[in-house]
Amino acid sequence: MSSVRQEGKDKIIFVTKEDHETPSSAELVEEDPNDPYEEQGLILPSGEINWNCPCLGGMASGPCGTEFKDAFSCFHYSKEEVKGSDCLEQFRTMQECLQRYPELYPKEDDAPSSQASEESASAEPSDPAAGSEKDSDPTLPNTESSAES
Amino acid sequence: MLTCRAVWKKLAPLARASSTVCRQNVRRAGWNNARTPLCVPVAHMSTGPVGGGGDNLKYALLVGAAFVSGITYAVITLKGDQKRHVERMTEISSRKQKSASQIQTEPPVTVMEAPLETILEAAAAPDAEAVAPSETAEPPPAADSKPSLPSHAPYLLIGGGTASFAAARSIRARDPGAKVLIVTDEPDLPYMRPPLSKELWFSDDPSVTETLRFKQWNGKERSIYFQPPSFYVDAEELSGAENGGVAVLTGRKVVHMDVRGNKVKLDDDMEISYDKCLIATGGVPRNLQVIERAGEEVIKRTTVFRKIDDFKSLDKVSRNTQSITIIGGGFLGSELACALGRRSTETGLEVIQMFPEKGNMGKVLPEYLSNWTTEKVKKEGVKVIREAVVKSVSFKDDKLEIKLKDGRVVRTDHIVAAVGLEPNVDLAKSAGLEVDSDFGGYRVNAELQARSNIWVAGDASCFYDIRLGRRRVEHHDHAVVSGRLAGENMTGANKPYWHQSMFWSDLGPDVGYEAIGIVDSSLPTVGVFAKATAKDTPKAATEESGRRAQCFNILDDPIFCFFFLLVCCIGFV
Repeated sequence: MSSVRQEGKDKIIFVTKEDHETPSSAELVEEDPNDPYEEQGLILPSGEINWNCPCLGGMASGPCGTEFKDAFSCFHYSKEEVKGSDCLEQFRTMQECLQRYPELYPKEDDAPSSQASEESASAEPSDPAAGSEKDSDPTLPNTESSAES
Repeated sequence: MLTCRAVWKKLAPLARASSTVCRQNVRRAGWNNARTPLCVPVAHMSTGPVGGGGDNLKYALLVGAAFVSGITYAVITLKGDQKRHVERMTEISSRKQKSASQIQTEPPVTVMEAPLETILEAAAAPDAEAVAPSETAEPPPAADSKPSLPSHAPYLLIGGGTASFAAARSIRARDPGAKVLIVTDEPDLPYMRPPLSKELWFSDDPSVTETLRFKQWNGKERSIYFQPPSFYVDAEELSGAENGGVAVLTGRKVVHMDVRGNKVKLDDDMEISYDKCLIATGGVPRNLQVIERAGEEVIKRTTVFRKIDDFKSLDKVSRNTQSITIIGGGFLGSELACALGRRSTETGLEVIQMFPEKGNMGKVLPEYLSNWTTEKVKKEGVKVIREAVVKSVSFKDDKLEIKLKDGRVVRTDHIVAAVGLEPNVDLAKSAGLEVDSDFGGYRVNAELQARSNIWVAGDASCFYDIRLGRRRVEHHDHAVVSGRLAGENMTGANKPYWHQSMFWSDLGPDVGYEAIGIVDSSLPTVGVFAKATAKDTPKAATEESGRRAQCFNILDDPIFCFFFLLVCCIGFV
């Protein structure tokens, strides 16, 4: 049984597993996905790519940012059967750029370019640069943990 | 007074005369319909003058004289003003000619010398004139004399910390080809501060002070620098960079800001103009007044902790002394205490922590949690002195002697002062920006704007939070969120501060907590703790959900594992 203790102005509740399992009776306000104030995911409500998404790491803002944007935009708007098959030129240019900065984009992270292209257009912001952890929003090492949990 | 009287005596008869004349006129005009007999002689005043005609003349003369003198005065004044205006204009134009001619005459004179020196001298000569900037043609900025560094940056970010870097990233993401210039007085590229008091101390690598690499929550290693040097463009190449980039000018301090002219001046007299500017100057750690007044020997043995250099020097000190005292019981103080306490088990270092509150994090956590935290800190090997207010510090017998107000005395080798942060508002005066009197920092609106083209983010920004009111936040995630928002607004997003930032703290490598909103121990709180089962171990829980779960003992009760949900009822909802 859960117990409640009051220490002055502070309330302490110890919850048992059973009580914790019963569904909450609190009413949650649904978040409006089109709320312009809220932080957006990878794809904006208008269908455009949110280049500022933390999920992209530093890819869109680094020295190869322009090449990355070209390649990814091409892929995103590609209407071919094999999505992105008409974007080989852009991807090649991006690859060349990435190779010029091995410190920023280490060898095993050449995968992001192909990984990003494999993402579906309704891209869930799954870690696109799983390899380039060094890049993936280094500014939020711990918030990512709390965001995921 | 006497002259007045004399004048009045002179004028009074005239006044009466004129009124008499007036009445006469009235009667003549027949306005008075009543029974004014026509032939009744005009009533004369006993003291009034006899002749109406003589009065008229005097009257006319007086009015005429006044009129003429008035006109004359007006003409003289106008002429004088015109003369002065003309004189001023000639003076101004002569100044312009003088400076221009000096620039022209200088090069021929010094034609023998290297071209660089010529330009320098020419630039110096007009400067020596000390003319007001708004009235003369400004001589070319000194920056031109160093052709390499940029004299104009479309996006200028003052300060090279977390907020600045987040803004730079945001700008580059939203404005293709943007050229961003970061100016920082630190010698390092942008880096994150939290590991300096946490993860870096728990690293097993002996060369950690050089590599500055640490292990993240997910086990992966990374550097505290946001990006390696190859991410940035050289400042000299920024203007010419085809796709733009982010350049960092280290070791330069912005000392003057000209908001009307949209330019700043650095400590080496270089001027940089901007289109849009972000002020992210952060803050300077506070020190105790008693220490500042205590003399050179004490100050030499005191560290305030904020930068990489402070970390390096404290690391060195911790290996070479026997006793360190940390003054301050908040986030930084407690984290450092735990970090040093851990080290004390290896080296035999004595770690003391003292603060005026009743327990660690006394202003943040409710009393029961503050007590628990204090016990945890003690377990890390720290001697905690509660309710300690420092009265004086002196250097005696090769040791620092700290005297507390209640009489206790502590003898130690080194002091770390973790007593808060003073937001850096040095530019407020020259820029004419508002400084908040309650929270400190630059006062900005909900969109982090101080002016139409100046934004402020990070520790130095006192902003309006739509949900929680006006505040100033000194946490890492806030710096990221506000920096990113400022960057978005600098590229036209016009969004207010909406996404609530969080903060976290680690007490040693085993215990940590996260929080969001206003967390103030003076508010009523509700704490929810889940009873642990046999399956729950900290390690398993971390791997599964990525959250940190810890076990602790409460007063000999059975062990509880808890997921931290600290909700300050009034504060956040």
